[in-house]
Amino acid sequence: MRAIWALALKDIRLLLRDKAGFFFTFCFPLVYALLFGAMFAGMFGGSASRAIKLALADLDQSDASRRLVAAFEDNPAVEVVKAESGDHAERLVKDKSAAAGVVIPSGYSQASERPFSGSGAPLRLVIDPSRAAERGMIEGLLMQTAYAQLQQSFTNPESLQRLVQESLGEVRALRHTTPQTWERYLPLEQMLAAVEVFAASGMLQPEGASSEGEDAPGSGQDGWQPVRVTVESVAQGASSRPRSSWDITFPQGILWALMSCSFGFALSLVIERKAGTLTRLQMASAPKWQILAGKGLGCFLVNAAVLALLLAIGLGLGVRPDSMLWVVVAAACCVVAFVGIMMLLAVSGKTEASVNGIGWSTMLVMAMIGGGMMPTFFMPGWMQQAAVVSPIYWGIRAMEGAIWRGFSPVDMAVPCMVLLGIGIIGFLLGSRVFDWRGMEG
Amino acid sequence: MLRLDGVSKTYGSTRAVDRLELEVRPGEVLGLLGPNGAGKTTTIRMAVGLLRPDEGRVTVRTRAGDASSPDAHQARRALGVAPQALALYEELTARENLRLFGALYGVAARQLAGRIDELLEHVGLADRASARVSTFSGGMKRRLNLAAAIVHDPEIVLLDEPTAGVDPQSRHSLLEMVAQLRAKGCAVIYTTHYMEEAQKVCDRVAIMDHGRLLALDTVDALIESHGGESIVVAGTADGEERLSTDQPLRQIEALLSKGDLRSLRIDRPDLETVFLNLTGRRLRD
Repeated sequence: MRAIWALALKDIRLLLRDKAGFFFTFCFPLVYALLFGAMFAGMFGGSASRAIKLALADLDQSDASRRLVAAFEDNPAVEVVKAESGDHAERLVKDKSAAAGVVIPSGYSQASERPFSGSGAPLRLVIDPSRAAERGMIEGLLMQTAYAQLQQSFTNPESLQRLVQESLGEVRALRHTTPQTWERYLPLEQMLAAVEVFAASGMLQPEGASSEGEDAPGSGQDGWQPVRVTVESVAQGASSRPRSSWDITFPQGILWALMSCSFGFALSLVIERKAGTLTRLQMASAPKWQILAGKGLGCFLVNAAVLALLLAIGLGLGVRPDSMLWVVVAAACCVVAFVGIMMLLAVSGKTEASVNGIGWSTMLVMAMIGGGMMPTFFMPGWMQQAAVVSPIYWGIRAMEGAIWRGFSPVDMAVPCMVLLGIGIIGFLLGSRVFDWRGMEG
Repeated sequence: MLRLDGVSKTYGSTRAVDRLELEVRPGEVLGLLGPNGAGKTTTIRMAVGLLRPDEGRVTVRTRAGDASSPDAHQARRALGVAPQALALYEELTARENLRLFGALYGVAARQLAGRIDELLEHVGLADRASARVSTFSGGMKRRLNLAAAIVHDPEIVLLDEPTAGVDPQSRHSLLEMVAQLRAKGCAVIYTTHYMEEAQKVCDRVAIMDHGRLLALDTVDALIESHGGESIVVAGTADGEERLSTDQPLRQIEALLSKGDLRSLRIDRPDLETVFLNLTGRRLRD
């Protein structure tokens, strides 16, 4: 292990003393991330100015529930995403396709027609706990819509009469319970009876003639509400949208850094072979596997350092990963992948010039199709599908999954496993075909 | 002790080394003399286990009595190699280079620091220990190259053209170091195409050409057996007369008896003559 460490340390020292190599490894990716971050600024962030995406599942399929859905659809502050079921609405919130979900359970219609009995029409609100600010807003919207519906009922003489008669029937049924209970409901019975007389008098204006913009919902209505909202949180904690352009460009910058660094290490192997130092290392009692392991360790450590530096700068600029643990896992997988890629690059040509040419052109194409230059969602569909052949795509996917896509462990497993596979297979394959010949005969 | 028993190596249709028999013993400097392409470097690479011979066997016997092929772990530790190509890390300092190779040879960290100081002093680089190798002259790099080969205090040292392209001062320093290695009991294989160097430092010399061993003996014995006759050059009033003889003293005596002798010198054969006689061409052709 001491030999491997000595070899890795040698490579790190050599990299730090190579000014151009140092710039392209540490500074260029940062310049890239900052430059593109500034260019994309405003494209991804600022969700406050947009309509809130609400997943709506209408399980009741009644006139009342359809009116509620229509009311949401008419609200410019809301963008409705139709869900087929409660689970579907939950999934949409979970995978960040909606900020919250509203489930209208079956039975909503009956409950909404008896607003003064029971505890209000039931509604299920599914929220993302990390979006606390939007939760209050969505609850307010629900109430506003429910009150608006109730108000409509009151201004329609027929529906008001029906509503009052049904409610009176239910309240009067309580006469047969205990005297204490009836005593509590008696004022309500008297009020409803008066309203019944009023509704039957014909003094009420027909629907549409009521005054608008009155009665802010919820005001003065403490203790009674037309709907009963049950709030459920989904076990997630992120926005499915990047919070800022840095969320997009920092993962890209990180991948550029890994590419650049791995390329430097691949070239160093070729240069060492030509200079004879590899042969000398072999003569110095170091087996081939140890020499390559040292190179791999050096590459791993420098990649990890670059990645940590870029992440630290990203945090300073406001990148707020959903999960630091997943960031660490994704970063480790990316670093392993690029150690393997380093070995493959080292065997891509015989000379420094050929490795330079073949290596960079391959990496540029990989970066282009993998989303290293522009996010894949800007690309045409076929290209988005082709992106999966690029390790850059998987690297970015893993980093984005950890930073803002809010991936679950299962979601993270796919890119991470692909990256680890690239790393391990690349290193083994590259080590096997590496040509050790270099010293003059 | 390092022994090569009938080793051969072929690259394509070229026989680089052909049934070579060599042995170098502790406290001995064995010169490997031959022109470029004679097979010296291939021999060195087989001797240290970097190349596997097509035929024959290489054996390293350590002082502890272990005998093994050179790619075995204990054999590698017993061997020190200074390759012809200056295989040093130019952007590392002299000390960092030695520390790296010392660590690879498994020298304990505590011993290594002292050993590096000692070696840097020895090769005249103590004052440049913290300077990057890229700032060194060719001679300084050669000296560091040798220091890196012996940082682990090996029993057998293989020096491949260690004085190639160096200034006279560095050459002198390097040859002194070789002499010191011999005095310490190291077995040294020294490849060169400078016959005067071979004559100066080698106890025995193996002459190679086209991969074959042409002769192996002490310098005096080689000259005796392959150098041919001495030449007595006499200057007279009529000009210079060159007389080939195996008894130069008797020839001088005869010339003196004739009188009219203005100058006199004896051209004794050297390794260059030996090589010329063995191959029909000069060493640097």
